[in-house]
Amino acid sequence: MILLASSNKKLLMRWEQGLLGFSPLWFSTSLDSIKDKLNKNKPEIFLLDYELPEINGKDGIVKLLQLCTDVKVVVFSPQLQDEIEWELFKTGIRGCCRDNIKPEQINVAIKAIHHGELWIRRTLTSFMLQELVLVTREKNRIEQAVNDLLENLTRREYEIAMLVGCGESNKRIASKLEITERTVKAHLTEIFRKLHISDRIKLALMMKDTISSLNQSKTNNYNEPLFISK
Amino acid sequence: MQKITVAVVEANQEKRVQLEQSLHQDKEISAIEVLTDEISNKGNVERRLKPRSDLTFLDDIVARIQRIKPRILLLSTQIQQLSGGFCNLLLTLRNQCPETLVVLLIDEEATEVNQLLDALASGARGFLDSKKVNTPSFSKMIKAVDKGEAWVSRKLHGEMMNKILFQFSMKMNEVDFDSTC
Repeated sequence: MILLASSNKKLLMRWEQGLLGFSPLWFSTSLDSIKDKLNKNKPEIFLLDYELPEINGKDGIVKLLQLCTDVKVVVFSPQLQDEIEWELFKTGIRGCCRDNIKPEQINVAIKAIHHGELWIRRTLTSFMLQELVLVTREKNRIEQAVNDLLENLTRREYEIAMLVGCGESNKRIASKLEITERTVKAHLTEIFRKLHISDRIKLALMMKDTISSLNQSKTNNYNEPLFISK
Repeated sequence: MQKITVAVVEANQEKRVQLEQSLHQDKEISAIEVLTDEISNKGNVERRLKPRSDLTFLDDIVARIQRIKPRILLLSTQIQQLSGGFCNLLLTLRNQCPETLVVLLIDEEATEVNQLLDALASGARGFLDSKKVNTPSFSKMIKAVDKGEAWVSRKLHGEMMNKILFQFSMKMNEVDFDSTC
């Protein structure tokens, strides 16, 4: 299902023309109607007129995305500054088209977005590269900080922390390691102290990231060249 | 008009010559100048591929790039000497040769999305399938990368955005969590 939202009839007609072959199509001309359809109908793709009254730019789009997190939003707008358009992508939209785009191009764009591609102007890709580098650097920094803290744990404490990360209860940990629950609790107190955290949930979250990084490391064989030809 | 300077790192001499010829032959890219490491070329090919005793292979590449300062570096991923992977080289080039934009020559069929994302996060600006270097998109790619754009498929753009948004959501979760404790 595709939801088309605009108060501009000409625009809606052009979109409909471009979406020949796609069905079903639903139309909304007001913010309330959009919210209602996003909530009830959970469309796959949502074409949104950036100039629809009450949308309120990026913030409004964020609120709409919260109503239906899986929907692929395509914004149709007049020419926007690169920075503003990039901010829209950072909200999670999957495409941005000029509002005077031809119906045939709409068809191509929607097919691409439907297949998981991003419909973005090439000039914006430099922002994306920069952001990817930044988020990866931040992720690595956090992982390093966590690893530094984990190095302070003894082998047994590390073992228990990993089991907490896997969602195990104290009882199950005790049984797995053949120790008493009281000992598990004593180890946990020491783990919390060393990691500067106050409770089990924080430990679980911390360890969950570590476990997923470890799993990823196992998948990528770092002893091999990054790119291996067949 | 200032020419876009391009250098090639390819261990296979035949492929390298073919690549440089394609660059020279393309009428669209008269504004492109192919740089060759003349100093290193004085020796024979075998000598050129061997790192000097005091330098690792990675250091050797970085030293040459620092010397010839190309705007765009086409780097083949088939170089066996880089046994530790390409991310280290990309990170080093990003730090030590920030003006040089690296495009990786890959075997598209044999390369996984995660490897491409890791390479982009380490500083690669795009990818070109080494089998498609003679296509018209070659000159287009060089001009686009020179302008700062990424040269990746729309599909990969989607994956890049997914990764960025995932990290954003992780960060948001941490903030929410801290604020509730």
